[in-house]
Amino acid sequence: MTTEPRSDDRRATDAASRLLGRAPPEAYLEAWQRALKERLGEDERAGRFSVGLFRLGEELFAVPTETVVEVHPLAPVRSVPGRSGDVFRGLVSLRGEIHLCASLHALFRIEEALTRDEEQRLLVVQAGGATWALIVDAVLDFERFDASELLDAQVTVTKSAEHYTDGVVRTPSGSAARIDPARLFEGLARSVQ
Amino acid sequence: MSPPPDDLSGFSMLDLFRAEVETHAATLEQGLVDLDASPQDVAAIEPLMRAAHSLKGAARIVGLDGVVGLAHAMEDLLVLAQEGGVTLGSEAVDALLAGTDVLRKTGDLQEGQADAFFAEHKATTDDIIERLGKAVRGELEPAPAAPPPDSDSDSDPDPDAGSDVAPTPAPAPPAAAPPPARQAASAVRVDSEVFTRMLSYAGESVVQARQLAEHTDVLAGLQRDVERLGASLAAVRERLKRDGVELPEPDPFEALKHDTEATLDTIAERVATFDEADRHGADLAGRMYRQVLTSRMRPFSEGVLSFPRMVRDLARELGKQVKLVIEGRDVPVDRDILERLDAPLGHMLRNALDHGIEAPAEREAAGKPPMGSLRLEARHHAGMLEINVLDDGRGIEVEALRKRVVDRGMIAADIARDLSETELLEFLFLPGFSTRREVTEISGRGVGLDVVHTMVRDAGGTVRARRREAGLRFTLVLPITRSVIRVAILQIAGEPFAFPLTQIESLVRVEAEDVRSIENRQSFEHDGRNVGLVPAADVLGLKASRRPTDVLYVVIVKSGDAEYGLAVDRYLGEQSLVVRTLDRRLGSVANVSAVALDTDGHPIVIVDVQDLVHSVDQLLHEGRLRSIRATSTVRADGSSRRKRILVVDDSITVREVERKLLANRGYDVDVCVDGADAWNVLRAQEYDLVLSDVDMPRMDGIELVRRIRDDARLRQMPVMIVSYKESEDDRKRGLEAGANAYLTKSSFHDETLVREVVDLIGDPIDRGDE
Repeated sequence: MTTEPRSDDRRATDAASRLLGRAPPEAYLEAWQRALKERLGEDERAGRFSVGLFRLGEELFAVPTETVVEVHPLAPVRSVPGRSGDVFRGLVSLRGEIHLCASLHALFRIEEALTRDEEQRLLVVQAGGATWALIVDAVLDFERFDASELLDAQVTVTKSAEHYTDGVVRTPSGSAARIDPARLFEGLARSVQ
Repeated sequence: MSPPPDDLSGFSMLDLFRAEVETHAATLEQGLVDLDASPQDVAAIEPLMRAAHSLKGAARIVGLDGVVGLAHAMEDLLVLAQEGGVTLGSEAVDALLAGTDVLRKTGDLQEGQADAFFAEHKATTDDIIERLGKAVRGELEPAPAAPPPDSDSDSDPDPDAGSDVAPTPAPAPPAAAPPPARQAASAVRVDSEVFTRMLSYAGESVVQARQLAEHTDVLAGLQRDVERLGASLAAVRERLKRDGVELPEPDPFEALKHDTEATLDTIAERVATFDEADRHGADLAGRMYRQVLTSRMRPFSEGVLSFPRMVRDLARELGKQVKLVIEGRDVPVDRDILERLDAPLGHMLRNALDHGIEAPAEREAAGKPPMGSLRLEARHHAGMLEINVLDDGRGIEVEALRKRVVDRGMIAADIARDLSETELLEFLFLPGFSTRREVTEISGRGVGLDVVHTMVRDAGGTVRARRREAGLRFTLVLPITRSVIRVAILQIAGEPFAFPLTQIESLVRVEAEDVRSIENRQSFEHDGRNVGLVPAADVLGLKASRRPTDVLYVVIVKSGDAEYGLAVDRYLGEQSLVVRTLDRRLGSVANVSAVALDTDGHPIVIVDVQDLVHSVDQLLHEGRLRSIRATSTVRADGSSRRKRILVVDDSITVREVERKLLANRGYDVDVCVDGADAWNVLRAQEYDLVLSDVDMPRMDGIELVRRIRDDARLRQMPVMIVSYKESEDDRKRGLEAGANAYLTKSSFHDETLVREVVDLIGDPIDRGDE
């Protein structure tokens, strides 16, 4: 009697793995790829955009998702004599690769936490072949917006950060300033010259 | 000419052809030179024939008809020679080598250049094919010493010979490379960026594997905890029994004991499994890392491929006979070093052939065999790569050299008289010193042994000359690799920095009381010399360390005449580091040569010591270095410095709030926990302002202010008191002690505190301060 349910279980498991493990029907993948691609194209045409949200001090910022490479826990940053300063902090090793590490706090003139916070992360961003590991106070989420949802940057943005942003989006956690990657990378590049 | 086919997965067909040419041309050249020395070695022809055949096939695929024709003609001759139809004399070898040269050049062609190339080289190519044809017909030169073993010379051995234009069956696929005479391991090409990344990951996996071991320790600790728990339970049970407590049946302690033991077993099992996995992982990671590192290594033979040919051609040109022997072909050498060796070794061989080896007649007259001998030997010795270049030529006469050194006015006659042979030979490496007056075409192209010396030194090595019974021996000693260096890890301003061991003189501990101060310059005695002492942090432009110490750790560095002691925080040990280049975006950074990952997997900057010494010179010259104990935040570049504020308060909350407020305003803020702490720091470092509480343990704020006002050096420094005490009496007491301002802690809530600070000492940064 006791073996009965077990063998039922096994049958169900087998059936489930057969169901999930079966090869997709011809054209199924293709159809999906087409559908997703179309949607992407549509998004682009409609001006929809996706951003990664992060926090510096009390303020929220957004960077285009396509510039985000990965998010890492904080790692020790080692100074480069004559180069390290408030913005460019030094070198950091992520999976054995050495990256330039910068703090956006100084660039945007935002108060930096005195102590290392649990939520602090290294946000690795890349554009135009340049990669930077940025110290941020928290990485929140990735969200998509319609073009119409991009508002003019207003007083919500710190004066110094204004230069680096091209608009504001409303998120469940509050307004976030969208960063223009080109200007951001320019600013970062200046910090090591 | 058909256009090259489309790009295939990142490598165009032309790229593949290029790789083919490189391999086969090398095989041909080396084989032909060997063959020239021993023409009877028919077996040695086989790989050459295949090389020519493969090249022909590969050229056909990419549509280089000119190459097809030439390779075909070479193949014809080689096939015939292999079958014994003809013996290859020096003239024939010359023609084959000339053909190889043209083939090699086609490897460098970019898309679309082929037509122009063959138009330009048509005459040469036609001439070579003509000579090859003559060789086939036996018209090239008088019959060689040994007659061909059989006369079956007019058979056509090549199935697709006859016409290049005729459609041929599938051409030889490029993959069908000839097995070279000496079977070398096959090689793959790896993008250098990919290689760097592989090295990164391999290094990181070693670090990760090491961190796993720490978890084993954690598990072992857990094991001990459970054991202790078991022992405690047993003790409790004993105690209860002793006290006559009636234990319920069944004994609950039995069940607990059982559970504890089961848990221990499980943990022990896991520890064993984990241990095994850890060992395995660490072993694998280590192997992978070493393997990736050694993949930079190439056999020595790869760096000397061109020499046999060069020596042969040059000997023929000079009418000399010489045999070049290369030993240690398999000795592994870093690719980078190998590349740097090419020019100096080539020069030394040319030199030996031109100046050292005599003409056959002269040699015979001197009782030597007419055939001269050149040897190139490579080996690993004491962790270094040692290369010897030996010849059995006329060598150098010591007395003639001595005279020459004096004649040149390089040294006084009486000193020259006392120079040993070794010392005299050192002069060979000085600029503009040549022992032969006439500049010959061969080795006199403005390049002397001094250039060899420079090139070897740049690769991190040395070169020495010694006399042999006949001829000379040059010994080059170089690092086996430049990618791994041994460093001392020194902590400066709280961070580790790597100093290459070969670049530092020594590391010493200096008692603070042994430091002498003359005119605010500090020094200490080392080996009977007075060595100037400077803070390494200042030279590197880093924020200085906080506290003065009784013992200084000093690294002694030297460059030219300059010798300095750099004071560092601590000596952290020695490591071998894999050198990586600094991110290009940083440009060339003063005092930094490269970067690496330390054994913890964190980045570490490798210091350029020569540059550092230079920086010290400059700083001293500009008088910008401060004394060791009064280390400051002066930036080495002198651009500007932030004003420094010392915050003293026993409450961490107040301390942090004040620090935050001031740091946000842009000041450089340090903190101390009470008056005594602050007094120690103040005596060693310079601040622009002290912000102190009143009520603190050990030394209160009022006492601190009094001491500051009593101190000659600190007397002028502004002091501000920030206290909870708001009464007029307290205020008076503070100001009477000498404080410049008295604020209450309610000033945090508005801008008062910051405003007062700015009023007292101005903005955080004064341009051109100092």
